[in-house]
Amino acid sequence: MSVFKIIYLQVKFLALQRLAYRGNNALNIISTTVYTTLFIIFVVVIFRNTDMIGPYTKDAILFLTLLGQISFYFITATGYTSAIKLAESINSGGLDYVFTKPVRHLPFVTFEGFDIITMLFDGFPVIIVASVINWSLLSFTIPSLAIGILLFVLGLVMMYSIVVSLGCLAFWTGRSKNSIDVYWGLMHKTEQPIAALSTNLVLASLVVIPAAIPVSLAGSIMIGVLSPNLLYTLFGLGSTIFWLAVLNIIWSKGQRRYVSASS
Amino acid sequence: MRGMKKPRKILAGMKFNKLKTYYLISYYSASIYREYPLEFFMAILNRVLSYSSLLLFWFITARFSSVQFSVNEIITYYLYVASVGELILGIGIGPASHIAKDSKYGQLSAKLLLPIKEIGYYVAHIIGQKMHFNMLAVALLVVAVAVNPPNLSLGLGLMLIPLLISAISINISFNKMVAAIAIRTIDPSGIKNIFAHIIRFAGGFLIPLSLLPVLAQAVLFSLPFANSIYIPVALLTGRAVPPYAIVLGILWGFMLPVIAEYAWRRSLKYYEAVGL
Repeated sequence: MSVFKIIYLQVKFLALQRLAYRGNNALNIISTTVYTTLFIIFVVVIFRNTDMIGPYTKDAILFLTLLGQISFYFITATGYTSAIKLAESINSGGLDYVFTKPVRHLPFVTFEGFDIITMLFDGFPVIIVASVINWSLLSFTIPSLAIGILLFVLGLVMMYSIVVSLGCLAFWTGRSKNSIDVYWGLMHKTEQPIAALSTNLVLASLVVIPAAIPVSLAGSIMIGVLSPNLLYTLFGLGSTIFWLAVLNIIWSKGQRRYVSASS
Repeated sequence: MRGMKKPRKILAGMKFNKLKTYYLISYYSASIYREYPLEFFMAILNRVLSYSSLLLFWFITARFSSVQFSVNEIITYYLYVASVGELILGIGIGPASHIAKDSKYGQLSAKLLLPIKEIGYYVAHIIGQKMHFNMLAVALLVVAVAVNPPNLSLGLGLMLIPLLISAISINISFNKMVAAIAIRTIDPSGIKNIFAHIIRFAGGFLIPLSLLPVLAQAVLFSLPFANSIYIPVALLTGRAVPPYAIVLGILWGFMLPVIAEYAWRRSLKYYEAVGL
């Protein structure tokens, strides 16, 4: 049985569990709709007081918001939930079961908590953001779109690696709830109008807020606010490779520290 | 005369013991970080990242747009929001979340049997759990006062004390109300998040309320949310607040606990204790 088949069954089982509680799912959708609506009001209020923030129009900021929401729900439903599950398994000794499975362990644990209901249901209000953007006022070109999409995907992989690495800290600390919750701080406000800053400041802010790579950097390049130059592409690629390496190192070192509950 | 003194002594002793109990709950909840120093550091990092990204956004907005806010003003505003707001609102909807979780697993019974208010137990527990945020808030308050000392008249300064007490009372009431609704559901996170999002926006955390249209400001100033962060911070940073907002802010501090207590008592009837 391949790792994908096991992950698929795991995801299906989790989805069926989540679907059983219709009332709670409805409340979660209301909650994310409230958040999205208030955020749109926030953007509208700012642009009631100004026409532009640097080179960004209201629709450009809303486009960044859209990317921010997509990446938030994707990473929360995949990496964050998996990191929480991983930390619990490390604490309870449940990781033993993973090690007995005839699959590659790291891909398995990093997708184990994939909550497709969170992604599809809770993330449903993303459509509201998409519907309020005046798409005709945004200009997309094929090169900028290609580089932007590449950086978006790389950024998601990077954020995924960061959040699962945070979960792996449980190998050393035993408890890693607050460590994993650093994710909320990282994803707090990713719609940064960074193109208003100089190149050096853009890179510095992306080091401090890496979650802005798939949102602010990728989005600004997609809509042509930032030029799709080699420096930004290499920066996105380098950051992703760096965090993937960190995840692999933490995972392999952590495994050596793990004391099996059943042995 | 001797007989008159005795009940007073007992009463005084009881009050002291209750306060001591709350203190001990907070203390033991906070002491977990002795064992997990990295967790303490990470929690601080989480908040620092949140505020840094918010500040970066507003820094760029103030610097590169025509929004009527200078960079200095916006930094001062968020320093006070991060410090005073954290001290007042630091517990967030945490107590309600814990109550709902405990009611789900039948663990609320143990807290209901305690000789202290059940909501007090949870508030004390969360204060202890989030001790690091309070420490960060005090540090930020020192920076905020050093950067831009509050320039308050004596009248407004005196008004600030009941406003802050009212803000704490409003926040605890919010928790009771959320718990009252959440106790009837299996997963309280949806209810909790709805409230948290509204408080963040209507309280002035996401955006200073003075940037909103006049009518929206009037509506929000009439609701209790505005006094949870914005009104105290606005007074400290020298922003104009209409007198009716201050009066209503204090009044909500008295009215909301009554409504919240009523809602909580009614919901508690739905709770079926396990173990009794």
